[in-house]
Amino acid sequence: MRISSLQTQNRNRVNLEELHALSSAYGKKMQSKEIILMVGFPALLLGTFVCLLTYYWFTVIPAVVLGAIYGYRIILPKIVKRRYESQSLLARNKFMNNMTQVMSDPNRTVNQSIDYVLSRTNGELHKELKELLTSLAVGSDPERVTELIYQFGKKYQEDNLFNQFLEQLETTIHEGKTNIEAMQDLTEHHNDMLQKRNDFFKLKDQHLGGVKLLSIIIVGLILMLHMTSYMMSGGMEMYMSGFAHNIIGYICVSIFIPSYLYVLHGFINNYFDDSVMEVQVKTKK
Amino acid sequence: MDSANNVSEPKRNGYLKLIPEKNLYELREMNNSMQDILMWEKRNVRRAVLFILVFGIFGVLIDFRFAFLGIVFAVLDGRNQFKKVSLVYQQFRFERQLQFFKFARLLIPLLKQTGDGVNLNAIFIRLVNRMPHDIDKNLLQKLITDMSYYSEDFYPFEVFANQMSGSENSVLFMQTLFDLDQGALDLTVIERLGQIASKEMMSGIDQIIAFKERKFSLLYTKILMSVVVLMFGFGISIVVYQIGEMGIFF
Repeated sequence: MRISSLQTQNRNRVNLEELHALSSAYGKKMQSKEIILMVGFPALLLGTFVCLLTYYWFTVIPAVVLGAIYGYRIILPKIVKRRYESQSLLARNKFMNNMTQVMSDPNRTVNQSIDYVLSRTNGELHKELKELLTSLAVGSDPERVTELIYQFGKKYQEDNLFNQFLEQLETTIHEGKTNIEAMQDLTEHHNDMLQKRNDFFKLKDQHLGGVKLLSIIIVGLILMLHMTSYMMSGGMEMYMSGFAHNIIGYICVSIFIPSYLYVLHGFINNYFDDSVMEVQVKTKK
Repeated sequence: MDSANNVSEPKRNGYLKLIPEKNLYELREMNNSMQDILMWEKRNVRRAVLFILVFGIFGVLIDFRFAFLGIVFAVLDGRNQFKKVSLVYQQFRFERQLQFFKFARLLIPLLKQTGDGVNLNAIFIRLVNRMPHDIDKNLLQKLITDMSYYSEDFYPFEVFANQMSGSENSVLFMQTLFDLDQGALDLTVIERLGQIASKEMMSGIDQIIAFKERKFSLLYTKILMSVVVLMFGFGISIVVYQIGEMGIFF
C-alpha cells in the first residue's frame, strides 16, 4: 500500500482497517491498548486544561471530544505511518548491506544474490523482492529489466540512495560485471543517513520531553492560581467568580487555549516530519 | 536564455515599479512569467486599496484616526508580501540544489555504463523521463537542444548549472561533464564526479536536518507567551475582584 494514499486529513474518516494493514506490513500488529492511549491522552490533556480554567460542563465535554477526535484522526495515523516508514527503511538498509556483501563474490549473478538474501528479509520487502525475482526469472531483455526495477523502486522514491542502489543492480544485470565499489559507497552512505536520522529523532524526542514538561508546569501554574485564591480569600470564591466565571477569564482563556493548541499542532506536525531526504517547500506562488 | 539571464531586462512600468529590484529578480528566478508577477502585484495593490477604503469609511463614521491606521496596515501588509517572497526564494534555492544532487546521482551509473565513448546526448535523453519535476525536464531538454546548437562551447552547461542549482559545486560538476563530452576518456573523472555528488548529497542531508531543527527554535517561547496572557489576566482579575469586595462597583 502506498503511504501517500493515506491522506487522513483530507478525508472525513480514518479507515481503521487501513491503519491495521499498514502497521502489520512488517509483522507487528497495532494493539488496541495503543489506540486507547493515543485517543485518550489528548482528550485528557485538553479536558484537564479546559476544566481547570472554566469549570463549565458544556465547555469540558466538547474539549474532551475534540481531543479524542484529534488523537484519532491526526496523531494515530502519524504514529502508524512513522513506524511503518522506520521499519521499511531498516529493512531496506539490511537488504542493501546483505546484498553488497553477497555481490562481492564475482561469480554470483544478481538473481542468485537476491535469491540468497531473500531469506534474511522480512515483511513487505520480502514479498516484493520475491515478486521481482519471479518476474526477472521469466525473461530478462534489457527494457523489461529496466521497467521491472523501476516499478520496484517507484514505491520508495523518497529513498534516493536505495533507488541508486537499484540502478547499480540494473547496471550489473545489463553489463554482467559487478561495480562493487559504487554499491559499497551507496550502502555506506545509506548507513550514514540512518545514523543521522537517528540523531535527528533523538533531538526531536528531547523537544517532545520539553513540551511534556512544560505542559505539566502549566497545569501546575493553573493549580497555583487556585492556591493563590485560597490563600488570599480563604476559598475558591475569588478564583471562580473573579477569574473563571468572569469576562476577564473568558477573554484570557479564549486567547490562551487556541494559541496553545496552535503551537502544539505546529509542534506535532514538525515532530512527525521524519524524512531527512526531502523538504516540503512551496515552490509556486 | 529566458529566465536567469534576462532578469533585469523587462521594462518596469506601472505596477512593476512598486516591486523592489531584489524581489523582482527572485520572482523571475522562480520561473514566474512577467504576466503572473503583474497579476500578483495588482492583487497586492488592490488589497492595499481595500485596507485604506475600509478604514477610511471607519474614519468618516467613527474617528478620523482610523484612516491613518488603514494606511499603516496597507504598508505593513505590502512589506510582509515582499518578505514572504524572499523566504520562499531561500527555500526554493535549497530545493533546487537538492534536485541537482539527484540529477547527478542518476547520471553517474549511466556514464559508467557507457564505458568508452561518452555520448552525453543519448544519456540526457534517457534521463529526461526520470526527472521528477517538470521544471527540470524542461531545463534538461533545453540543454540537449543547446548542446547541439553551441557544440564545443561550455555556455549551455553553465546556464544549466546556474538555472538548476546555482551553487559553485554544480558548475564544477557541469565543467567536468563538459570535459567528458569533449573527449576526456578517463574513468577516474567519473569516479570523482560520483564523489562530488555523494559528498554534496550528504551535506544536503545535514542541511535538511538543520532546516528542520530550526523549526523547533521558538517553540518554548511561543508556549510561554501564551501562558503570559493567562497570568496577566489572573493578575487583573485579582485586582478587580478585590476592588469589588471593597464595595466599589463599576
